[in-house]
Amino acid sequence: MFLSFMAGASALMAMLLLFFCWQFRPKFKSTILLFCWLIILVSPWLWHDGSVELAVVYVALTVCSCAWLLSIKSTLKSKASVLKKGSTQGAVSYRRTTVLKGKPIYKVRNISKHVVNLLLVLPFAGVGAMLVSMSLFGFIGIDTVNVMALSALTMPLLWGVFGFWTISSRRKAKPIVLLSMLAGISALSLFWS
Amino acid sequence: MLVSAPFLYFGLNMLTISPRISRQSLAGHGWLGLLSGALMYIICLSGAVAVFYPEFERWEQPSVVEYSQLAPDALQRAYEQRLSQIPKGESIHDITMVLPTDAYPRGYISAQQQSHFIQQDGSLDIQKLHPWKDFLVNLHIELHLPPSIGLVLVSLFGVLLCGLVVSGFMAHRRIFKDAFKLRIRAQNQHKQRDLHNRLSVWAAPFHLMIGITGAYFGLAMIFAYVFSFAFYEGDSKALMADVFSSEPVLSQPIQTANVAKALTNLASVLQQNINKPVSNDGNNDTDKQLASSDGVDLSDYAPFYVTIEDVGTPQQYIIIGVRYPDRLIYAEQYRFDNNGEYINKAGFSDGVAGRQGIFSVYRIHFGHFGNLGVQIAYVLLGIALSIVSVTGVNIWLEKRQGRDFINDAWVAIVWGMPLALAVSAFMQIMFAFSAIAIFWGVVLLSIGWSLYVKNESDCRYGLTSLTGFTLVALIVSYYVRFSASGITITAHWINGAWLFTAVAICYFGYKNRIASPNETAPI
Repeated sequence: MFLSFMAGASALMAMLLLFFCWQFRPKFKSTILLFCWLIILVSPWLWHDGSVELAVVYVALTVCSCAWLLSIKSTLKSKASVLKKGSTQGAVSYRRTTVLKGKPIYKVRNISKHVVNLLLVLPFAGVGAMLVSMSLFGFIGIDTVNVMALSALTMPLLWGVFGFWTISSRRKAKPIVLLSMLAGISALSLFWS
Repeated sequence: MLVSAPFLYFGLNMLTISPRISRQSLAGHGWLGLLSGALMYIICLSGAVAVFYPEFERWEQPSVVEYSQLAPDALQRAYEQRLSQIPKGESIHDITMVLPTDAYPRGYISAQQQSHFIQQDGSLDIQKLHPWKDFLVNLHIELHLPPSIGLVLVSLFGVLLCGLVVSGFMAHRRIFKDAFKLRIRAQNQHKQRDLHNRLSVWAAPFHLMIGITGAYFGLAMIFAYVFSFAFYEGDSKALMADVFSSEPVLSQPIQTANVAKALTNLASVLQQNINKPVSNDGNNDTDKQLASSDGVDLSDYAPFYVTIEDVGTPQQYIIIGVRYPDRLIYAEQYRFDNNGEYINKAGFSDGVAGRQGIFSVYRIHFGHFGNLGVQIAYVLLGIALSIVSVTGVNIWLEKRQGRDFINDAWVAIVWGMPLALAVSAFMQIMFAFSAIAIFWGVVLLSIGWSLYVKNESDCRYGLTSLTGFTLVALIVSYYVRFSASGITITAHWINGAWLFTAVAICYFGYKNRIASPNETAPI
């Protein structure tokens, strides 16, 4: 119980210190930042009365709620922005209420192009992510069940990253070639025997 | 947290993302978010509400008698009664009985897609029906599409969420400089951007976890198919046996399963098994000979379901699911034969790490661990993710040089969704109308009305007011309908939450109307 309290308190302290760094920019900012993140990372293992898995979740929830509360605190201090003389923000406000007639900066064609892009990229990235994650953990030489569990849980993340990479690249050939090579090597290592 | 820490620190000091990569990431992030925004919002908001789905079940049938203990003999009677109702010669794979717990103080028995509540004496009560909760959960996990399509589609949104989280970090070069910056009272563009960034950056570990676990649910069958070819030469049964532990091989005379004896034996079995790891293959047949580990407090190890597998066959066996305290696993399964004699356990609590991980996905996705505070945190985090989805699209809308029908449609989707949920609940509770038809009908009507009015501010005000009014009507009609049959305390809490939501939404709509009558963004 005492350990749990200490871990919660240490995570809270680290968050307050992070906020202090953000607001006042002290001399050893980088060192303090590193220290704060280390404290937060270590907290779940200190908070080990029950199980580490729950401690990780609880510390994540503590950090998130603290950060949001501190953000709200910062918003209470900040003043509402006022339009300065010569500011272009008035023009921005005007544009928002202007009806788009004839000259939209986006085109419906663009949207449909990106929809098709996404539909083509997703299956490709998915196959790549599945093969890469399976072979990656297969190489470590751990139990097959662990390989499958790790692959199943990391594959969505890899899929998202590969998908985003392919979509955001201007030269699509680069990610497509690299992903195809990675997937090919992975498939060979998995299905060769 | 584990993910955001290195991102935040190294993003600031070590690995400076070049402006070019950041620009490209922002473009990719923008398009991914824009194309997934509307459905992502619907999935996230319905998921946030669905955290309390067991409570909604109790809310929809408030007159069912609640209790926290069910004697093994009573459970046996309920099982035999349900079994007698099944026509002879009809094969049935399994019968599941859910036991009352502190969190869900009702017992029920399910077979052939029908569930009946169990009274404390073991007799069967009314049928278990909760159409609005089913509607809500189906909206979240399948978007009301056929399961084979809907489940995979929603899982793809989990994948997109992972991609959005990573690309969001890549696009955000001022991640530390803006770590706590939240300009709620600033110009709309800044407000939208700050809300989007603060809510998403600090909750990134949660969002990643939701994305990964959400994707797992729909893709599990695809995983199983591919894994079986990669590691088991296409033998999917061997894969299932390895991951979920192999089924016991039995050959017994066909008879009614002795559920009461299995439950009675469970206490001694738990004494033998707690803190005693199983072998890697999960089949610890030697468990029977294990020495007793005296002194272990077993009061928190609560059995909460009993399943009879392969009913009426020589292979029939009993599974008792036991919830472990301080663990994320859904349950540990203890198996008993026809006579209620212990066979083995599945090893979800102390088997291979991968098996434990796979069996923890459900509870971590729905927040069904810990206390009420954790569930409330999950609701708030789910709402935060919904706001992130909305503000992401708002930022794109703000960047355009003007407005068109997309602005009108978007405000209607954002504020039509809570209204549609409220109206569907009201119509389902009061008139038993199909919630699915009502929900999508209201969403379409909201969009149509917004396109006709062409004024986002008016539309938002109208939809928020209507939502508040409908929720109040729902509460009143609920008490009118159920007050005679008795209402449980949980139902009062749910109605209190509806009332709070009604006041909050109305206040929000009114405040925005007064503060910025010409403001055009949906939030």
